[in-house]
Amino acid sequence: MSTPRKIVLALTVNGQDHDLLVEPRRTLLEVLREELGLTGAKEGCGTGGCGTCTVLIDGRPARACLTLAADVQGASVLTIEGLADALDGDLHPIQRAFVDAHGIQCGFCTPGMILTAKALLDENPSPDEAEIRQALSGQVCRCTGYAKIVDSVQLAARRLAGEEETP
Amino acid sequence: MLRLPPTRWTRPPSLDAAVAALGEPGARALAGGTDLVVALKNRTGRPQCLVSLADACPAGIDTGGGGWAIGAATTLWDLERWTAPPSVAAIPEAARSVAAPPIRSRATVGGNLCLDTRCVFYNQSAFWRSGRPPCRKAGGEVCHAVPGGDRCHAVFSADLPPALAAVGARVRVAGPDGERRKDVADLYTGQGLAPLALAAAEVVLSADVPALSGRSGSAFEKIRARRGLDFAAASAAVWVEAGDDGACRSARVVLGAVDSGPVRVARAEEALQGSLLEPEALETAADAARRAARPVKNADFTPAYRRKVVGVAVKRAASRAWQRAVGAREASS
Repeated sequence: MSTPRKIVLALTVNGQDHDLLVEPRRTLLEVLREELGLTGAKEGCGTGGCGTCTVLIDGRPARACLTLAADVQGASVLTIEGLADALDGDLHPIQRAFVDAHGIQCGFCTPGMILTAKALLDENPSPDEAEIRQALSGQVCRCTGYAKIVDSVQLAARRLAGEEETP
Repeated sequence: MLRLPPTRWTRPPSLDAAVAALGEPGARALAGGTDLVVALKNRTGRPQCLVSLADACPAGIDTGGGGWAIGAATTLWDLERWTAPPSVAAIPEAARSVAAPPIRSRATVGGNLCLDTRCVFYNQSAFWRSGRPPCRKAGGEVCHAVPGGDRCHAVFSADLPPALAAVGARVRVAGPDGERRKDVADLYTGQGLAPLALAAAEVVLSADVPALSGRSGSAFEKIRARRGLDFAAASAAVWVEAGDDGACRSARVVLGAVDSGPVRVARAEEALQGSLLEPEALETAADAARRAARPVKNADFTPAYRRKVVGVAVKRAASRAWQRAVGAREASS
């Protein structure tokens, strides 16, 4: 079986196209952090159990630590760095809601929480609390106890629906 | 950063090419990777080449032929969103119970059907495992879960197989000798060491679900530490059909996570058949399940607890399946 040692990986990350030469054993998380310098996605457990490496692959939340970069050839990846407005740096409404509703303490789980919340709200703009908890069930936070994170997602949903003004 | 060992990788463009690639020494099939990548990081698997099946297996649910063919490359994310009829509602329910949404977005039906058995003494980092002699599953000669045991007792932890077995699904597999179909239950050896009854270079193509009686319902119940992420401490899938007299005419009961393979419990099925699934019948079925379960000290909870809660899982799944069967029967009459 002849397989090249490295493969050419075409990837769109936060709207930017990249052609990368990577070893096929590299995970998407390694490529994001070490090749592209995008350190927003973290390595917590490295085995899929904590959720802090979660990014969106073609709009769906996925564990970057369990995804072989070779397996997302041609995909569009969104990391937390790509969520705020690229032009003026304004926070995305979900990020703003996490700040305003105190959904952040140490911040380590936050990128994964916010991106998972974005995938939820894109699919279901007005989730109830059970749906939010189900969507976030793979995201572990060791600080807040989750209540304020759920509050943050609910606040973001109301603001995105225009039911509540962003101050 | 936890890294994978050096390995080659190939993504064959067709099924034939994938089967040929899997025939090479040291080749290992890669589906969504959500379990295999962990194994590689833990160095419990050391393949020379990963063969991605992404272009070799069908994805999606095909409704041709009076049933449903669920392609092996279908993600659990898509499967949990399937609006299945009551008769096969256990399938999306089982899909929804796996891990968490960001894992289900990559994990596949084929991968879940072929999930390796697990053990708290085996599914650990290489460093953790280095504190003890290697167990049978790691190539050694001892069992840490059952000291003195003569086989590997690693536990069957996949959620789809009990649900698929309960609704009488079959799997379509392809290999060097062509395609064949077998019952889901026959995909498993019941052995912790090598749980899959697949020949070399064989891959699962689809799970074929039959169209069942419109007066039947199914359900899957999984008991675990948290309602996300965790593997089952015990699980049960139940399919029941209501007869003309309003009583249960037929039933299938399959347990997960209490042995090295899925466990079908004929005595639990007998307890439900002819009953109205009243509390006494449910208790008899639960008791039969508890007797059929063989949990050992290799998962989150004690064997005694897992034996106890597998009965709870059967009662909950049977009740929900029956509600669905009766509801479907009333809706159609």
